[in-house]
Amino acid sequence: MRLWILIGKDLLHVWRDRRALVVNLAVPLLLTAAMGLSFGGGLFGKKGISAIPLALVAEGVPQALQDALAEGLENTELFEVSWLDSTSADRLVRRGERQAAVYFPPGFLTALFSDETLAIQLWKDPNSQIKAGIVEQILTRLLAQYQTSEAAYLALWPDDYAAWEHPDEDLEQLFSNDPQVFWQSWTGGDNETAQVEVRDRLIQIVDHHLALNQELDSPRVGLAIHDKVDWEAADTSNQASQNLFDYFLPGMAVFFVMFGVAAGIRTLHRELDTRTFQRQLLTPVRDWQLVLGKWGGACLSGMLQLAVLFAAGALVFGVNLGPDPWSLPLLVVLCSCAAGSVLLLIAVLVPSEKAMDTVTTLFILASAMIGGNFFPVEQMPAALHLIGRVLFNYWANTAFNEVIAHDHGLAYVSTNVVALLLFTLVSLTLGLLIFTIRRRRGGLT
Amino acid sequence: MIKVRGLVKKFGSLKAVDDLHFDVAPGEIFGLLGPNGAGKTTTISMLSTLLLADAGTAEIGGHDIGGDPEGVRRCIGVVPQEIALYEDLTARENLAFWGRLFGLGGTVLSRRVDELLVVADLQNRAREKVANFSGGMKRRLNLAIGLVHGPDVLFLDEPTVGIDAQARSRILDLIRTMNDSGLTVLYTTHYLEEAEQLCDRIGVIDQGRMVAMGDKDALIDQIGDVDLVRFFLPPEQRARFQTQCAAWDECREVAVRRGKIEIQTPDGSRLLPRIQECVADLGGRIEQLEVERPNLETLYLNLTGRALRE
Repeated sequence: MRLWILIGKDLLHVWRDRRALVVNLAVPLLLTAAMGLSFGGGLFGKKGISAIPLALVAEGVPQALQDALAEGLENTELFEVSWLDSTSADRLVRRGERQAAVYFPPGFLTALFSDETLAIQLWKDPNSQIKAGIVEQILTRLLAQYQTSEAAYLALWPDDYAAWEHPDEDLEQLFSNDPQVFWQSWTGGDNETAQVEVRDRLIQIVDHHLALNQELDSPRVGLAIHDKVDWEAADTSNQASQNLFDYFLPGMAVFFVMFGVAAGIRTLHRELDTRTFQRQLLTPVRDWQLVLGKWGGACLSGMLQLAVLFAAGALVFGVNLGPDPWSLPLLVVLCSCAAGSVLLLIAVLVPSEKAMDTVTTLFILASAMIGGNFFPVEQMPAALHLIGRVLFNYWANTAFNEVIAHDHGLAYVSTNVVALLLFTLVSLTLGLLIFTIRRRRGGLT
Repeated sequence: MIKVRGLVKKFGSLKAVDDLHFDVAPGEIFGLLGPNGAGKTTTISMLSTLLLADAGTAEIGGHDIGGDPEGVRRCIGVVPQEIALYEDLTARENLAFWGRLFGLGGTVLSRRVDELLVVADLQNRAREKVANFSGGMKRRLNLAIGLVHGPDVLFLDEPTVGIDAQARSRILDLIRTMNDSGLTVLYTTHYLEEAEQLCDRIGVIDQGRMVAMGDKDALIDQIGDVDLVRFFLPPEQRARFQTQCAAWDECREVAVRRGKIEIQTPDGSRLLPRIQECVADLGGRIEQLEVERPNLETLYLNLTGRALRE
């Protein structure tokens, strides 16, 4: 009960601070609007960016794999793809009838199933960096996923792969999603000896598959980016579309929620300075209730802030709110709690409100850069990508991105959910522990 | 109501409170008088369970500060030296918040808040944000919050610091009214006039130690019948005057404090002609002459060699 009294008081402070309300709610929406509109988005739910017409050029890629790649790209709803020969692709791109061209070089298939690193070439418009960036980002993500699924097929490949000559009809079976049929035909049908052999090989295959998955942690297929210097504008008026705000709003929302929650947690030090905190220590309220009250108030205000931002985003920009009614709300709760816990930990470590301001501002800016609030993490160097994983906002950003921009449900972001829970529990426990120790040593009074 | 035995608090090598002993009877106003840094706030912090004592014991209303801190907190109200209020909340919201923390609610809380708004003379400003209040109004609300749960004992830590004489007078009246209804008060101050006017008994504290304790008259009796003669003399004449004055039989002590000569003597009026003669011989002129009867300031001066406001 007393916990709710403390939380209620802090929420009342938030409500009374109109300037902070404007900064934390209006600014992220304005920034999202500015970014979305400048990149071609539209207001009031009108879909902004058109599906990008993409030319795919492949030499030696079998039809089945061509279909699979095309389907994968078109499923993003960002691309409208067509397979062309290199001369036609170049011509259409120069005439502006295709926005970019992706070249799968000779040896693509062999390289995909080997340890070699393979560079797919993306030809893009230097005058349209943003769209090219989106193409690059999505293609990278898609290829990384595709490679993993290919690894599963590769696991069905026999040891004598090198002797196989890759006939098209075998590949069609291989990519027909029915590898058992392929396997049976390739090993000799109903022959009992062959079936025993198949069983033994399947065991080897599983081992091989597991080993490969470990080895393929880092993508082997990279993108080589080339600029078309004489790009021409294309008429995209009648093409399918994708909402750019879906990509921008989550990062902005998480970034500003960090500031909003920090403002709530920071009042711990303000109350120490104005002595209201010490006065609360003279009431029958326990120490841990005071800390949890401060944390709870900041988390609840963060949740409200995110809820308002996403609701406004949906109304004004037509932002997608996820595939079901619970994925986004749960992430909102988890993100706010994780932010509150991490910032509480900082608050009990620093000596004053001034120090808290400096440390939290630096922390938020640095973690926003590394954790993907400003740039998609996929476009960052591998080392930063790795560092990002130790920040809660990396997990929040990627989770919101999957739910909002890719319409994935909670199951898809279960790792993120666990990570955010861990950030909450570990940081909150440490925060309470450090607060208690400092109190026992005569501090914070 | 309050029993303090051998209370000690150290901050590093500094002994902020050193072997403090005193008792306060139910319904009494007990004043802790001492200059800034004497250990008054540290004493209140220990008694109110905010700080742990390094040694010694204390009981408030039968609750031990070490063994039953929650019992102590329920029994006491504390008015801190700082104005510990939420400035963006109204007076009513402030009172209600602190009342709820003490477990009050519903009509009981509402009635109590109304009563205290009247007591603090803030009933007409109840729905106004505290940020708009004057210093005196904030002090009164600060005091009212200490009373919100109806404590048996009220600790007041220099509650009149930084306010004008009129506002101070209203605060002191408020404390007397509360005391008349049976409230026990522990009052710290470095204003001797407040201690003299308000307190039934006074403990004089210096460098963490209780140097004297008793009612006002008993304390002044300790220094006997001594007047304090104080006047301004130009710096070039002070040393020679001090030397001559110190040799007089009627002079108990002569010193220079805050630019003024201070002489302790059994009868100030009898010494005045001699002082005037001496100053004239030195070629000087007496300015800002005062003769004070013995008071707590004189007592403190006698006990510690320093003035209360030094």
